[in-house]
Amino acid sequence: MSDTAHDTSKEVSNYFKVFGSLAVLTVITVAISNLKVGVALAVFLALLVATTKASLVASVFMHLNHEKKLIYVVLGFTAFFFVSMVILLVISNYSTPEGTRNLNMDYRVEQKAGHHGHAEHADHEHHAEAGAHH
Amino acid sequence: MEMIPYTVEARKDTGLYNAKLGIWLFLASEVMLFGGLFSSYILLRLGAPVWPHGKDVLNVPLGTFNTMVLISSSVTMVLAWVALKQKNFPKFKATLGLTILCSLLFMVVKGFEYGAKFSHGIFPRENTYYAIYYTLTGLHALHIIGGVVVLAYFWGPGSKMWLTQPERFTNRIEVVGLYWHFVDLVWIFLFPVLYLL
Repeated sequence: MSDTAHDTSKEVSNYFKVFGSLAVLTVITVAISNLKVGVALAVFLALLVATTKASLVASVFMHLNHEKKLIYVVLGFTAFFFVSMVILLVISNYSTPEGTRNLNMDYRVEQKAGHHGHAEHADHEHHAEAGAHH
Repeated sequence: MEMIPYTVEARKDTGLYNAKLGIWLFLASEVMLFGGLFSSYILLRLGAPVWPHGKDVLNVPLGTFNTMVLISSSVTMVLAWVALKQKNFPKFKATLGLTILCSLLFMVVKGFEYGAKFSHGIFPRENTYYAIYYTLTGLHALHIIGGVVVLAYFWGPGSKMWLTQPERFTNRIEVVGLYWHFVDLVWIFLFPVLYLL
């Protein structure tokens, strides 16, 4: 019995250590975001800190550091499908069917035309104001 | 009376009690749900001619504070489960109560953040950034609300099970804990992605 009591107190002190690490890493990620670095490096550092925090939560709070095999199998499939999904979606940004790039450009031009409409709207307001003066 | 099997003892073939395998399968589907939205975020951002810097449009101190609140709630959640393993019911009530308070505090802060945006007339239709910001944080907030409802049930009426089936109740708390840590884990990624980058 005293053995299990000892185990629990060690477990609890572990949880508090993880809490401390998570708090420090949160401060670190905010501090890093204030550095003047390139976008690629900023994204890399932010994801590095976030992944570290996530693995702490998963391994200690969610007990993935000692879990049954079947759960690792489930998570293995999940990781595979998750990574595939991210890659497929991101590839679609670079590999678009013939002609759709131009369609995108047209869309942007239309958007600009939309802005023009906005300006007209402002004109109307201006006229209304002018009317009020009369 | 018919009893649900494997609520306490492990099944021989899986080595797990059923609810634990169940929650992990559910969390696997949650990974795909949030993963799809994260992928959409990456795609939208890569394809956008301009993208606002999270720091310029969101309140970073509030976001940092909320991150700390959620991390704290994860610690109190796991302590609640340990308290049940130690057969210390009052400590369980206290730590689970703290978890619920933390989650409510998170929602209040999030409410203020949303309120500040709404009062400036900023809704999802503002631009692509806000569309994905509201979608991701809104879905996360729904997960918090769902979690609070379940936690409150186990703190209140659901805790009666401790008197009749203590081991089964301890497992229930472990399972809701796994869900709660997952919601914390999602925020760990949402915070830097939306607020800092």
